[in-house]
Amino acid sequence: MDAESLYNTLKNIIINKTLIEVSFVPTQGDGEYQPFILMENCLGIPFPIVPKSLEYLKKKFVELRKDKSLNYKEIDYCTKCILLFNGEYITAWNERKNLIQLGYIKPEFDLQFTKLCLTKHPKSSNLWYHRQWILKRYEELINFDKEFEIIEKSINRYATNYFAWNHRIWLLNYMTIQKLIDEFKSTQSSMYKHVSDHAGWNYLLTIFKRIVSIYKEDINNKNKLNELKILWNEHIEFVKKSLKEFPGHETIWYYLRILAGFVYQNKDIIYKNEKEDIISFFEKEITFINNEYLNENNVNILLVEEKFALQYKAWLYSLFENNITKEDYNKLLTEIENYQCMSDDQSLYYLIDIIHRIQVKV
Amino acid sequence: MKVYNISILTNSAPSKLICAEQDLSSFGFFQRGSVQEFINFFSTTAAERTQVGERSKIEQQSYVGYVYSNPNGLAGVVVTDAEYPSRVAFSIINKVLDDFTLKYKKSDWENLDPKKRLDFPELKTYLADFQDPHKADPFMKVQQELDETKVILHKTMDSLLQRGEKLDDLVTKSDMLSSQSKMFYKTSKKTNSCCYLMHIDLFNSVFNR
Repeated sequence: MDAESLYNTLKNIIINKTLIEVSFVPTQGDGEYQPFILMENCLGIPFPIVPKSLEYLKKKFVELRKDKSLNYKEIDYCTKCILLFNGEYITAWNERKNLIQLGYIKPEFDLQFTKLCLTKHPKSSNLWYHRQWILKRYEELINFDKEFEIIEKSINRYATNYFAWNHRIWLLNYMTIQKLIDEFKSTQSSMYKHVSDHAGWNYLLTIFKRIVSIYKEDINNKNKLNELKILWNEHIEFVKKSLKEFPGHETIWYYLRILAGFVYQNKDIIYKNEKEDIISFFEKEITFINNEYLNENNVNILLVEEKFALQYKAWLYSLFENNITKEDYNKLLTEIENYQCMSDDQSLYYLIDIIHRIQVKV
Repeated sequence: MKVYNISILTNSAPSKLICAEQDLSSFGFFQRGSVQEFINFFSTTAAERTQVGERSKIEQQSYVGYVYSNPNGLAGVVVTDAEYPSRVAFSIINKVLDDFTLKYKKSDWENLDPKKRLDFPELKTYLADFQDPHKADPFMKVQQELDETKVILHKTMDSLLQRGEKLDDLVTKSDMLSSQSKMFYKTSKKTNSCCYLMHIDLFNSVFNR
């Protein structure tokens, strides 16, 4: 079958069917729309025809753009077909933006179309960007539940999907403070679905940062600061609970580290109007680490967890170096040496360097 | 964090599938059929080769299979992604096998026609509920159970096979796999992947990404 009739068949499918999913399949179909396979509104594009179709479509697209008569209808179909094959083709997306601005395509339609393309290209940044472009111009079309559903599906399709999480971060711009807090809590309770996904943890931190920056504007309001304090206490408890429930995930430890650093930078807001100050946070963390992870009587701790705990402890020491005594350093050094003897793992040498450096300062 | 499959089989050789439930919503529409066939093929292969009383864990890239074979002649198989806590996966198997034994007597499944499955709707509820590991194990016990030290870990499916056995031959001989799925397996062999689960990964790379 030549490329032009392939294009016509595909065009025919797009016009007549409401597709819900698209993917590449290795074999050709022999149904009504051969060689394409159409089942329950899912479109299968056979591999062997991809190169020649794409080549033809790109040529056609260039010609259509040169053509002064501006055949919008044909441009619409041609870009759609290209984007089903390749979600990263930015010129085609831009041409569609143009058509939206001219009023030829309804923005709602392209929201639906990007949703379809995401089933094949869940990690395409241009695709997510096109969606944002539409939502930015037509804010009334933002429906959080719908967006979250699409994001969740893309993440399940392709784990550690930075682009999907990034879209979710972008949506935060349109949330009120109450909505932000709700979103923070609900993300927290469904975090178990993606424990090893750093992009997910980063999303959680981004919401928290937004919340803190909003409270910062009203820094003399005691009630509000109390709310923030409660939220923060709940959150740190949640992170520690996750550490224990899902042992062996380095991602959570890294998150805890970044979180501690963020809180340290914003101690004036989070620990304002309080009898206890940031030092009490530091002491609590050290006690937690010592009791749970660096306790010789606790035989159920994985060796790798001990390593993460040591790294976290050294990180806290470098943050709070003014509150550390010489004995503390020496104790940490012995702990690291013990760990290295136990595990035959030499990767913690860099920590010893860091500790020596702090010690010199003290 | 995802549980793809819970199934109950006989641990005789050849093993028979008694009931199975799968959640393949994260796979594309056109993949699901083959993925399901491969999971069932894996379940029977693993159930036959796991010693009675033994727990084994078979890792392959981002997928993990858990098998426990009990003295009554039953085996439970759970397939999850790499994030799912292994202790919880084994406790799902225990729970499912216990409930199954309460519902059916040995005579009900011993001479079951290989083409037939027993009706066990609880499996569907379990599969939906246990997507959240907290529900499978409400306390999410901090301590790793001592049992887990007895788990035999296989880094690939090949190490599960007996001497002289080859996965290729098993795949070719299997009547659980459609010719389409076998063709996929052969193409994946060319790209130097040795295991069916890796094969599913290939599916992902081919279809989805």
